This record gives sequence, structure tokens and C-alpha cells, in this order.
Amino acid sequence: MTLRYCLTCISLFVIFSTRGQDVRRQDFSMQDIRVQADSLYKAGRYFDASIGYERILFESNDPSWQLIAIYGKTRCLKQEGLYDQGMTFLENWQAYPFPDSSQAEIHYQQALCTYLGHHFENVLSLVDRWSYEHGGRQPTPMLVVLKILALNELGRWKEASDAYHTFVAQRGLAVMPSDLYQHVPHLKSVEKAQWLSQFIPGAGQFYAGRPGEAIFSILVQTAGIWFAVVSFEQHYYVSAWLIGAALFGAFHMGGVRRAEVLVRQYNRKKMLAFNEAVREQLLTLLQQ
Amino acid sequence: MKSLCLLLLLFLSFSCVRAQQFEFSKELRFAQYLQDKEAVPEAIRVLELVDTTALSRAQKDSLFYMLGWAAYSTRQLDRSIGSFLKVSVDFSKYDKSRFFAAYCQAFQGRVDSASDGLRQLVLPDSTLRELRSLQLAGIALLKRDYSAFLPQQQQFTYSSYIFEKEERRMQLYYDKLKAFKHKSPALAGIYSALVPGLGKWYAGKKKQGIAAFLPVISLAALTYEAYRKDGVKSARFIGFGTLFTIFYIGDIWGSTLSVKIRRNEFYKEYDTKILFDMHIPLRNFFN
Repeated sequence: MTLRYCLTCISLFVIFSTRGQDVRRQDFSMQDIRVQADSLYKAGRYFDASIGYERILFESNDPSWQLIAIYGKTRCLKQEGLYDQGMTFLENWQAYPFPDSSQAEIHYQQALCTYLGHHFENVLSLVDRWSYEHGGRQPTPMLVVLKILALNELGRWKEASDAYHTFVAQRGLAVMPSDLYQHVPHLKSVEKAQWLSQFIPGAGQFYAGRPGEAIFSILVQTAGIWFAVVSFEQHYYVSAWLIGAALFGAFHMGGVRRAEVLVRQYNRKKMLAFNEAVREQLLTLLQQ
Repeated sequence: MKSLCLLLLLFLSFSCVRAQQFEFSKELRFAQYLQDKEAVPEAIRVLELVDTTALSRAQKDSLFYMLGWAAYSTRQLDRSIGSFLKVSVDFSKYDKSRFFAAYCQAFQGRVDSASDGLRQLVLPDSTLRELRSLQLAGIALLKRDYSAFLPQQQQFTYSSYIFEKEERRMQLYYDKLKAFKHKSPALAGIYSALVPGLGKWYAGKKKQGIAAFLPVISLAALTYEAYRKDGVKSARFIGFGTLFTIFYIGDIWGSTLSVKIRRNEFYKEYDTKILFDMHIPLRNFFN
């Protein structure tokens, strides 16, 4: 009788323990978590999906699962526009002993997040680190593109042009694309605009390519002077100073400051248009 | 047969409880892992998704404490207070939870709730009691209840390195707040009526006073010139006179308001200092 009870106990214990382990294994299996995280990502729930990928990193020591999770989480952070967070996240995985091809992919993703986060100097630093971190491995074409774009953003046209020509030559294309660097944008001088506006009202605005604002500035400043002179002649001395002179002074100083702002806007616009053209061409070349 | 059924039930419940405990502690460790990686919003989401219905009291305490702490570190004060206050008295970190809940309430301006919560605590340790006195003294100053400050201040020993400096500073804040003179908005208005901008100067806003003086005086000069040369009925006089009147009355009105603004700025500055000196000892003592 006692033996029967003991056997029953043992068998029940084994059944439930095994079942419990199976349930746990099933619940926490990486595949399940991954499928769930992927479906959340597809549904646009990037925050929840990123928790799923983090759970894989927490649960698993298997490098293949870890890599899936790292790429997944990076995708989520990029979709959320959290590029700086993506940069830091990937930085923490740089030293992990993954196969070199995976480390290279992490390196590239980090450079991409850095570029999207507008840290252009850091992009160049990451590109420079490539050769000694991945001994002899050729940088991916997209990494070279990032370098060219980062140099463009920093206005380092000469270096960007060199990198661009090397890149185009290496692509070995049958039909060469038009050389965009033959028409590098000519940027205007902020100091020159200020200087012009200082001595010739409205000239800085003309120089910045805004004739409408230039004419308005000339008219207002002239009106100020005219009012001051007329008032003075008619013995309205207080009005001459407090309205005429003050109007001229305020618009003159404002005009100098405005010319500076307009030149900066002009330069930024030119740079953006050029960078956009280069970006489009490079992406087209990559697809060929 | 009856014994067999009992055994079956026993094993079934044992297995279920073990699985739950395993899962709960794993979720807690996962949340902690996320917090360590500074992914606090993610940690909060994980903790919030834990089903509390099947948890033991101790497990719930751990969960609420952790949730409160995570919310506190992301300045989600309502959520933090709610979670800290759910921690039960048997939990080892009960005092810490209550102190931080009270601090969050004080930060939000719910000074009465903060004060009540702290007073209800039964504290066996003398350092903790002194820390509570420091918190209550700070709350009294935030309420501008100076008579409530003094009994708490009498509990200060100025001997604990954790909050000795804060105790001294709290005393200093008390002196400054009590010495603050309430200026009269009406008087500021009268001053500005006599000399444009003087009311703002009196209220403690000297630069604004000068900035108000210049346009009003300029418009006054223009109005006088128009009056002297063209007479009362001239469009020039009416135009400048109207502008002068608007600026003049606006300055008087602004001066009366500036007294209140200056007072609020003064109190805000000291509230920030008080809250800071309430916070630092809490972090030093409990961490």
C-alpha cells in the first residue's frame, strides 16, 4: 500500500514538473517572443516591439538570437526617430564577440543612426574606425555614401568630392552619372552681407537674394531720415529725434541683423538642395 | 481514493504556485534589467502588464515599490505616488516608499497630503524621525505656515552628516521668508503715476522700470511738443496724447501687477530651494 502511494507521488511529481518546464519553455521560447515582437513591429507598435526584442536579449545568451534582437530593436528605435538612443544602444554591443560580419553590420547601423541623428563629425569618426576594427574588410557601399553625405553636411566639399569620385569609379558603371561636384554650391559671406547693410541700406538683403525685403528696408529707412529732416526743418526737434532718427536707427540695425539671417538661410537652402541631389544620385547608383 | 485526490490537488497547486513565482520574479528581473539600461519607460510598461490578481502580498509590494521607483525616476509623479502608497506596512521598504510619496506630493503642491502621510509613520529610529522633521519643516515653509515650522526645527540636532547642511539651510530659508516684506500694489501704482517706471523699480524690477520710463517720457515729450506748436485740437496732439495715455496707464497697471509677480518669483525661488533640500537628504539616506 505504502509503495503504491510512493509510486503515485513520484509519477505525479514527474508529470507536473515536466509539464511545468514544457509550459515555461514554450512561454519563454525565443521564437515565440520574436514572432510577437515582429508582429508588434508590423502593427506599428514600435515601443512594445522594442520591449520584445529587449526580452530576447535578456533571456538569451545565444549570439544568433542576440543579433536578431539587436537588429529588431534598432529598427524600432529608428522608426520612433530615437536615433541618439539607437546610437548608444549599438555602441554598447560593439565590443561583443560576434562574428566580424555581424560586427560590421552593427557598425554600419550605428553610423546610420549617427547620421540620422545629425552627428556628422561622429559619422566620419565611425567610418575612419572601420578599417582597424574590421581589419581589411571593405567598407559597405552604404557606409561610403554616409561618409560623402556627412562631408556634404559639414560643407567639406573637396573631401566629399574626392570620396564621391572614388565611390563612382569603384562602382564600375557602364554609363557614368553626371558629376554633381562640378557645380558645388557657392555660399555667400555673412560678414559681407552685414558690411553691405551697414553702409548701404538694403544692400545686404539684395546680396542675400531677397530684393523685396531690400526695397522695403530702403523705403523704411529713407522714410525715417525724411521724417527727421522735415521735422527738424519745421522745428519739431523732439519728433525729429524720437520718431525720425529712432525709426531709421531701429530699421538700420534690424536690417544688418536681417541680412545676416537671410544669408544663412540662403546658404542652408543651397546646401540642402545640393545634398539632396547628391543623396538621390548616390542611392540610385547603389540600386544599380 | 480520497488520499489520492488530495495528493493530486496538492501537487497541482504546488506546481501552479511555483510557475507563478518563477514568472513573477523573472518579470521583476527583466524590469530591473531594463531600468539598469536606462530604459525606464519600457520597465514601467513591463511592470504594468504584470497580472496582480494572483500575486501574494509580498509580491505586490515588490511590484508597487519598483513601479513607484521607476515612475519617480521619469518624473511621472502621479503614477509614482499611487504606486508608493500601495506598498503595505509589512514591506521592508515601506518607510522609504512613504517618504518618497510624501516628497512627490510636496513637489506637486499637495502639501497637506504629504504632511499627513509623514505624520502617520511610526518610526523607531531617531535619525529617521529627524529626517521626517526636516521634511515636515520643509512642508511647513512651502505652506508658509511659520508656526508649524518651529516645532519641527526644534527636533534638528545638526549632528547627522546626511542632513546637517540642509537643516541649517532650512533655518536660513525660514529667516528669509519671514523677513520678506510684502509690498503694496497700490503704492507701486501711485509711484508709477508720479514717475513712470518708479513703481516697477519699487517692486524690485529695476530694468523693467527703466524700460517703462523711456517710452512714456518720449511720448510725453512728443505730446508736449505737439501741444506747444499745434494746440490742443491738432491731430498731432490727439495722436501722441492718446498713445501717451495708453502707455502711461499701462505702466501704472503693470506696476501694480509687478508687485505680485515679484512676490511670486521670490516664493518660487525659495520653493525650489526648499524642495531641493528636502530631496537630497532622502536620496542620501535611503540610497
